Amino acid sequence: MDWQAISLSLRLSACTTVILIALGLPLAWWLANTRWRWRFLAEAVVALPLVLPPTVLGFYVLMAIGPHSPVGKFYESLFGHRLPFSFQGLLIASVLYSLPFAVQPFMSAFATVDRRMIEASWCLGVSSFGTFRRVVLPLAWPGVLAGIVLCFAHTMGEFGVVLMVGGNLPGVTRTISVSIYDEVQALNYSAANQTALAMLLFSFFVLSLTYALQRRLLQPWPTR
Amino acid sequence: MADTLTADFHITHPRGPTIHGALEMPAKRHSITVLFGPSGCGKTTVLRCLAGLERPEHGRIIFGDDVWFDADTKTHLSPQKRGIGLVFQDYALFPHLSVAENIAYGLDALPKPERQTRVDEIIQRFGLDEQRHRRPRQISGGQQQRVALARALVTQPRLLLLDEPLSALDTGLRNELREDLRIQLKTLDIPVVLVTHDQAEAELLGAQIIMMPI
Repeated sequence: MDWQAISLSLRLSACTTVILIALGLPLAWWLANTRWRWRFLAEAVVALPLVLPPTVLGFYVLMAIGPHSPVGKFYESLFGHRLPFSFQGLLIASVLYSLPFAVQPFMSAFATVDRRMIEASWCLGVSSFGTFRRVVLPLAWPGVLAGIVLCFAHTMGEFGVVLMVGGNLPGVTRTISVSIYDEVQALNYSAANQTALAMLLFSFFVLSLTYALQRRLLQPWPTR
Repeated sequence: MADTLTADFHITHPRGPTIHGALEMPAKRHSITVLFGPSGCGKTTVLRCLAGLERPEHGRIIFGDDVWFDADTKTHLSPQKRGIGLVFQDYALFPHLSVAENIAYGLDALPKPERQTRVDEIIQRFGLDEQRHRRPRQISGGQQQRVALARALVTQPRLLLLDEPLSALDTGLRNELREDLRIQLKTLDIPVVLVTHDQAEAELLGAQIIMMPI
């Protein structure tokens, strides 16, 4: 089994998940509550990675962070190395690619919170942020947790975007999926099977956990 | 002028009628104003405008010297800044918090000992001592109503708003608690606006009754 690739994928998934919790929670809360007339456009942008071929997304991310782009130039001037084919570049692509897998479950979870609970909190003098922390998050936690788990699992299985933006550098950008692909190309089916089976079992476990959470098996109180 | 709550505003719901809210009552002492009318006449909307949860299109709401809402100057004070207590129709108690935590919810800014004292006092006053560690779903409808009232009053609001406070209860219990509510409200030193479609409730509780047109 390619432990280096597994370790890299776990690190990438953990970093992506942490970033998407920080970005996705406020974005999902805003999308769930805004009355902005162009909200559907923002929702479509968030959902784009669900329907776009990973190569298309990977290509545009590569163009956007490449050495000739403003972002790429700025990054290189700050850190002295380039974003494409680096872990940091891979992380940017992963965050974009997994965005809907975090934001959509978060939005669904927020939509289940009874609006009057939020209003009751405001009328008791608690700020919008305080209300989010003390009422919305505790009541929406099964859905939020489901989003976190999905986001982590989805990043673990990324292939197309990884290959486009990160290439195949062992220990730097060679994730589990790329490792399996390499083993198959080398006709080393036994090694490929070991890693693939581990991924299969991991994915099954994660999905079972997600569905259990979505059915609110773990929720100790009724929402209404 | 400075000692009154004056509200005169219009609000139109999307695909709904225009509702006119108009009331004047003392702001610095106890009095009860009942907004009475059938379901759907806009009583709750008027209450929500007073609370700051909805924003009228026209008019103004002035409490004492404070302008809560003025369409002309585009003033709209948030619910947090109005210093109100609102009891929702089905109480909106936080299901993940105990009775004591629900009551203490709005007192976060206070030092812990003072918070504890206030919560203990109001729990005693409303006879909720046995229920203090229970979740809202584990107590009766009448007890939930008392928790909601205690939670709204413990923050020492300037105005108490009650949205059909007894309608979530069955008829027997409602009749029983009507008098109980009247006694509780009588002890207050703040103005109360209460919404109801129950004539008996309106007559028993309301010093000033405002009929809302259909």
